[in-house]
Amino acid sequence: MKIIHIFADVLFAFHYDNEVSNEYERLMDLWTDVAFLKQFAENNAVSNVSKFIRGILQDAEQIQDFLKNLSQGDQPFELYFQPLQNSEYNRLLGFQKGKVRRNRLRYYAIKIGDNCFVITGGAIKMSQTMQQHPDTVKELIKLKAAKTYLNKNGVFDEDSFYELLIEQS
Amino acid sequence: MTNKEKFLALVSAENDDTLEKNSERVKNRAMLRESQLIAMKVLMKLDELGWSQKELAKRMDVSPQQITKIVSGKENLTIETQIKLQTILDIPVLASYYENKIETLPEWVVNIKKGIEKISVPAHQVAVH
Repeated sequence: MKIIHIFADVLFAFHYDNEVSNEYERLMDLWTDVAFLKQFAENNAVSNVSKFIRGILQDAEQIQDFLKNLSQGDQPFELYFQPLQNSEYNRLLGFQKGKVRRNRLRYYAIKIGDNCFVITGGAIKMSQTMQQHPDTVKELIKLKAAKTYLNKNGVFDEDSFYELLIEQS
Repeated sequence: MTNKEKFLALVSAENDDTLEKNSERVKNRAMLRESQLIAMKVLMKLDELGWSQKELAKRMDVSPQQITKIVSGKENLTIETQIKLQTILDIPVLASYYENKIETLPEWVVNIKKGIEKISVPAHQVAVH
């Protein structure tokens, strides 16, 4: 488990030991893989597979544009990430979800400080609540595991987070 | 110097390519969209024919890994590959697919006309009451 620096002092992502790339990259690869999306639609009993695939591909493009614009402009990433639940608002290392309006793709992250996030994973939203779909249940477990990892490594604010990153590099 | 400043000084020399890959995806969007459409057509046609990707690889004389790349919708396909897909699967990939169909259109028209003539009842055979 390693934290990868993506953009300035704002965006980071976990790279898990058994994966070939960090979570942003791994998920964007999946969400733009037509064969994967077809299989996913069939596994989830989606009625119109072609429409579903086209929709997710468009959603992925929207997120790519969003990241590109955020990394080029002065807008804070807080425009994209929001607390997973109301109780996470002011919580230290709070759970966040990346959300674009009418978009079914979600990145999940832990908020380290003002406008500083570490992506822990992501999923295609298929249910109203995270507890209703196995993929999002798995993402909740990953969020909790990531927080435990940060806690165990003495991360409690931005400064201690950067201390961990320096130790890693 | 804070830990943040120390870290940012450290990583500035590193090259994380996530943002670069993201920009590449945006830049190559037109090509990727075409590739994705072809991948969808291929996958749907394979289902219709009941063929596996391995079967298609054999018929196209390419490796199964090449088919995996094609159906992922991320490949910049050569014209040669597009022609093979179009011919073997009989799916529209290039403009030539429709051009060839149009060329054979007069033949269809003739056949349809002949068919209509066969089933039409001659006027003198129509009974008048």
